[in-house]
Amino acid sequence: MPEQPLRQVHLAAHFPGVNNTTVWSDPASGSHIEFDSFAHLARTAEAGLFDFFFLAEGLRLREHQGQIFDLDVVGRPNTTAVLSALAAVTNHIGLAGTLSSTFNEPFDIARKLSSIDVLSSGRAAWNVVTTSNAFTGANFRRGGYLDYADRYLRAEDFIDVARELWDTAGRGSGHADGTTGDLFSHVSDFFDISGRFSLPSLPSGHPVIFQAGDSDSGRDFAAGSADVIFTRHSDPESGRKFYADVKTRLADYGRGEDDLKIFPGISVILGDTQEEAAERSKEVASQQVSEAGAIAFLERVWDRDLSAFDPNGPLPDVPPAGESISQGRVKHIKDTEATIAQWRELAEAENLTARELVIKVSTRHSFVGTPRQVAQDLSDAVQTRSADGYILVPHLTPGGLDDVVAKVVPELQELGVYRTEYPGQNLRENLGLPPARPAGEWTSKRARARATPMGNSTDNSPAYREVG
Amino acid sequence: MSFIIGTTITADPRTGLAAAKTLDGHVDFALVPDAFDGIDALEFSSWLGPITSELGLIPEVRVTHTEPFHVATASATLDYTARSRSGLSIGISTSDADAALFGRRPGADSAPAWAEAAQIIDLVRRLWDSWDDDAIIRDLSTDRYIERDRLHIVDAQLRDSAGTDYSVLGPSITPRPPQGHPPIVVRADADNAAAVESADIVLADIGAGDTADVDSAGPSVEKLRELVGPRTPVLARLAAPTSRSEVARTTDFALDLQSRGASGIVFSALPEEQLEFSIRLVSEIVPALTAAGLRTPAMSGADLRTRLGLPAAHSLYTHA
Repeated sequence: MPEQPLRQVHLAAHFPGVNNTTVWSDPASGSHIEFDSFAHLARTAEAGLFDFFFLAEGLRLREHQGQIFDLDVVGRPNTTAVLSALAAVTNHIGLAGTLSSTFNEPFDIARKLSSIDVLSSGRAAWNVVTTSNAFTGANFRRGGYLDYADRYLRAEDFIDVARELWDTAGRGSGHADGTTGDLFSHVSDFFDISGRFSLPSLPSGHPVIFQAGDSDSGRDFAAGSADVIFTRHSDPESGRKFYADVKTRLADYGRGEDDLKIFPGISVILGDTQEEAAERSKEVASQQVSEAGAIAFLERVWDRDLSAFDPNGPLPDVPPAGESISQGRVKHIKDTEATIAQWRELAEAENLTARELVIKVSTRHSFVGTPRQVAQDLSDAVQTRSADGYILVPHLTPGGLDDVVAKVVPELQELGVYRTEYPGQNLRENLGLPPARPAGEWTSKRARARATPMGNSTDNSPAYREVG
Repeated sequence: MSFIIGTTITADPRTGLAAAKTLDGHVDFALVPDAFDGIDALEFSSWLGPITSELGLIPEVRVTHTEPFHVATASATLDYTARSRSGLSIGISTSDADAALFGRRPGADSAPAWAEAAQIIDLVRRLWDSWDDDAIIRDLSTDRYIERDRLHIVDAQLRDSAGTDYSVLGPSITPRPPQGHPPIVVRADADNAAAVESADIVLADIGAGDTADVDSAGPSVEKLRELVGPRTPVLARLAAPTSRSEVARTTDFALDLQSRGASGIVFSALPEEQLEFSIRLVSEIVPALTAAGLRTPAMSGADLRTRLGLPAAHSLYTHA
């Protein structure tokens, strides 16, 4: 039997986000707004032959107990503006940014992404998120206009429009009014727009579309519209289930396994020995949960003020209250009562303080070990179809991936599962995606898939991830 | 004060880039027009930021159909990536064709569109100022990354060009730009006095060449000088000279404009002429202006406000 070629590992870099996973208290933590920090991480990732640099976005500062949350990193650049600047200081790496389909208009987004694609020679990517709440809408003309049930439908339609516009770019000769491009017109439940998209044709065909949902309809959304999924399924076991489920859906949409790439977000902690890496992991976890941060974390779960409790004492001995204490972030815990009961048992069994418990339940590092071991684990996960690649989320800005690039990448190359140069001319090619397919094909394939009895089109309850 | 020189460049990765590199270190700024065709001026300027080192970068944004919040964060970000060399040119959209691209409102009349633009200028500055310069504290003793008392709710009430009221709450998601207030540029029009009065830099259309003394549709340099007061520079906007004789007359023309109260010139170059013109500008026109004593050698490393003779920007919140 001929040996199967090894599946290749793909890596990407996430600029540290606004969650407590980002450690700002470390002396090595630099600016989260100066351009040098973004350039450093992007160049490091490019030196490591990563597929793309990824930037999250939140359009309103998070609040806690009615006040701006002040414990985590906050104060971030405009997504497209910083990606355009990064296009000038890098040559190969993809430039992926999160942009809301709710608080933007298709023409504007399609044009900005086209601009980045042209300026970067085909490296633009867009992580499409929906934002239905009035909380974020307060910063925008329309406020919280969009029904919760409609936000996914609008997002899907939004992507269709963007692809329609991209398809017209560079087409047609010059017109009397000095513009170029074919006429477009899109009339739907959400949009009524027309005109010319007068941009040069896009080097990548279409910017790469990312999606980060996890619910059943989120997975269908990805199968029907996206090129890459950014997922939280970082451990190999749940990754394999997620991978199998999502990739199975692709056939309905006329797509193959390699047409949609799965990239879990992960953290990597290195050491010269396994023990040293484990020790380092503990230190980082401790940095990620400050005393005030531990209480704030518990307050978000309990949904009530817990400031009277000592983070270094036992878990608060009060029931949860449901006061909606936090605004602007996704709540991942579904059953509060059960979760708290489970944590009480854990804390009692292991004699943990409140802060120690928070560290335990909120800071798991995905891959901890020597560079050789981490490389082997990443390869194993990819060979067993837990993922196509991984988005590395460092805890330090901007040097948090220096060691991974210097030490893990050579080990991956040694294992024969990592490239030694960029294989393609644009992001789509470097990801191993097929050429962009025209907008009309996406919509017709999707319509056919959803018309079948096996389709999941009735459930439009959205999954989303606004900020990372 | 050195006579200010700027010119338009087109958002094109080949000729626009070549022009910007030619101009860098020789003129004060490049103005990037944006009429919703071609590459987005803000993205293009953001791209030019790390590639240039001295050139001021002023993208145009037409605010009638776009989101003011995004305009504020993108322009603030440009000031970071261009290292304090950014500005922002505020324009409006009145055509039905522009409106149809967004599909949210009909084409606007210029008076209400400019009225909204004036409100947006104030809003954008307030969003820039919604973070005090020292808002990021990284205080280990209390585990706080920011001092939230140094962030400000804006809660601006605006009216769009179709007469619908809306509000923008803030604060911004982006810290205060390094210049505080990147210079805001407005081109004087027949009915935009409010926007002109709120600008840092005002552009006045001037006829080109032999018709140099004839002011065009907008107010004259002299009228603008009266309107905006002594602290706001008025720049004459005129077509880039193309013939040898026009180039030779530019110094005399500049002296005349200066005597009438203009602080400088912005040349408007056609896309197909911009590269040739930028070479002529730095090799002939600027040296002639310098020889005539109008321009002093460029201040290396100065931010754009300083280059344009503007005072440091005080926050609308902490120095109210």
